[in-house]
Amino acid sequence: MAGRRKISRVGGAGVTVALAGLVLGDFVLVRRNRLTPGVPLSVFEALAELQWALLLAGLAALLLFSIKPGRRQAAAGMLLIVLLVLALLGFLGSAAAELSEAGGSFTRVSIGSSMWLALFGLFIVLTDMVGRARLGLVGNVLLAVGFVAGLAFSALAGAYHFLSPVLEFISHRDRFFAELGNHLFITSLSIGLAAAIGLPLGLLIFKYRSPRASVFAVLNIVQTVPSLALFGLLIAPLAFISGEWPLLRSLGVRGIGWAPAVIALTLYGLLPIVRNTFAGFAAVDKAVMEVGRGMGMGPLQIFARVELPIAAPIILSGLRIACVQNIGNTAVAALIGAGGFGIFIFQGLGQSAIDLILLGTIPTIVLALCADGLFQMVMQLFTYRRFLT
Amino acid sequence: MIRIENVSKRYEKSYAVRNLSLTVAKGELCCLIGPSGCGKSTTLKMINRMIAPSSGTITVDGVDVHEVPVATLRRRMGYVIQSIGLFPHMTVLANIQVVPRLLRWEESRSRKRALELLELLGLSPDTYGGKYPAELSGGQAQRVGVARALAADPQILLMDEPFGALDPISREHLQNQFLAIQQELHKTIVFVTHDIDEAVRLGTKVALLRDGRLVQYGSPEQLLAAPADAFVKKFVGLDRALKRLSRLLAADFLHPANSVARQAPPELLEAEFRRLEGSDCARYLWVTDEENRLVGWVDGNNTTEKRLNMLEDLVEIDPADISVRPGYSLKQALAMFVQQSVACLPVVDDERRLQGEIRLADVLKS
Repeated sequence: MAGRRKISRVGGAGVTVALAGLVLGDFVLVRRNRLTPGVPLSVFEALAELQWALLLAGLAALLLFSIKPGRRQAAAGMLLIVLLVLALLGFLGSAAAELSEAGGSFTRVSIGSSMWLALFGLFIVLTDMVGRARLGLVGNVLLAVGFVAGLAFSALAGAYHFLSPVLEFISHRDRFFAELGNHLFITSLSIGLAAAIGLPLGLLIFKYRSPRASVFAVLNIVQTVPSLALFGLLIAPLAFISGEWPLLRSLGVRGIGWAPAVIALTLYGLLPIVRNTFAGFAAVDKAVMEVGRGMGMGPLQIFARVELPIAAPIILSGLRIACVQNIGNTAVAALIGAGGFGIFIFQGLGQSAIDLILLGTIPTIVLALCADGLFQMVMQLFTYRRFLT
Repeated sequence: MIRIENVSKRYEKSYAVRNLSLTVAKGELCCLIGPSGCGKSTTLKMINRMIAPSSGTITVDGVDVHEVPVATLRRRMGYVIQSIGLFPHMTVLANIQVVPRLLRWEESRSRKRALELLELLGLSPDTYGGKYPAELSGGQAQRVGVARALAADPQILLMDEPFGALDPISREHLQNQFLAIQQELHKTIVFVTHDIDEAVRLGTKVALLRDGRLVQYGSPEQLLAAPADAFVKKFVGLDRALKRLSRLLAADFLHPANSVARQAPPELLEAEFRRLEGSDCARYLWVTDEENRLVGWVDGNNTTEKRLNMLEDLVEIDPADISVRPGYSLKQALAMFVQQSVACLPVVDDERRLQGEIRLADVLKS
């Protein structure tokens, strides 16, 4: 067995990035107040000896696990990564608490480059090990739940209280949850609309040849328009419509706000959904359809029992791409007054307040990762689904 | 019984099938054969209404197929095609259960039936039942295809070049197995093929088509012995005699085997050779172990001393290299005779147990 295991290049590279980042980069930036430039501190300066020694030892152990990544090693590695990330964040929080206490109440402790590199490196190793450990749906979900629980526990215990993005969160708490609601509303409404239009459209152009080329041409052009431009282009016509129909205006349809954002994002979501729906149905072998017919299945039975289940994973992956893409693009929609996490990003940009930018960026990324994970889970259910009862 | 009467299928400019009449009696395996484009597949597909005839009628047991609801009609006929078309998202068992489920059988009954069929086709239900089609070899997949067609126990099977895409070894294996199953089940089968060897080997009737017309219809023997015209003659080929051999089974030409046990005393060996002297198969004495399994042979052309050594230092052989199975056709046996350049071959069963021997002289006489 041992002879068949190879050194995992991806895993090795990830650990190297994490290690180099941690050792060479700045662990935290300490600023006298929210807007002044910071003083960088390395991991050795910011953390107690025991703390950084523990982190380095953990990374070294992870390197060992990725040299001979069998199933067990990979599973152990995944667990180690979760613990390492929790430790990193915990140590960071405690360092921030100490530095803040020493520097006075306006002191801000932000996250430095070494932290980002370490997280990035560990993420790479994690993606590599997830594939090798093959824990299955239950195992992966358990690990994710464990991670989130650890994070939540530390947060509730106040471990991150002195980190500057957390301070930003605390001072914008109500606004944060309102924008989370806006973000989710815009993304889910646009994806829902894109699916409602895109799924039937994909099926239609699969069944009928003639509109196929033109539909793809239009959707491709839409996809090439920069999102900001598309938002802008919709302002004038929507303002006009809103002026003409008071009913729509009372629903909130205006030149700015959520309406143009939802329309533009729906258009963006269409291409991946239509393309994958088409590709999914096109992937169904003609012989399979013929046999279905020859065995006495009606057109509806063939669609429901043969075509749809075979096409489903590809269709779902189209929805997944559209969803992740729209979560990111929704951030831009803040510029036309639609709200969402983009608000913090653009405010932060205006004030050169990195921590405020992070307050908008981190949850956007987390949302996208969650959506991605959710779709992967559903797709896995479809792939492994046993039709035996 | 399937009766095709004056059936034509006309496309815009040409006829795919022209005025075809053909009757397949119950329990017959009728091979439709001919060059590509002769209308054999079209004919098959008109029976289960995958294609509608332009004129003429097709009846099954006296009922016009167009008077039966199309789904009902098709669920009563097993359908197997060359590209198999297993449902990739269903397990092997679920694939076999498709028609029983369409017919709303009790789940336990349809599952039991599927397990039986896997067994019948030589696929262990425990190993293969839960697999997905992507995990099967071509031969295994087509076995499942056949099992699926048999699932609802239809009286009629329609098979469109079912073994055409398989490699020669799996094809032959599957043909043998299929023949054995048909001998048990007695389905009425319409079997499209472009391979005359396959038609001669499997068919109880062969219908040769050309340009949508029936050229000759009869038993394989009739076709081989008395080709209706030059076209048929050319189509069945110059090796007609060889092809006839493919219809005869080794099991029907079995002689008692001349064998000796591995532990036999030398006197017995010599006595055996003396007894054999002058007979057709005097040269070889098969050697078997305690359980009558073939393990080797002694060549009578050697000196007595050497013969004894041969028994003592017997070189174990793989029986597959020198023996024939009872289910082999004489054509296969002949190939083995030529390959080994011997006049006599042992016949063994699946467990290598010696069943008898066959003789070249019999093959040449038949």
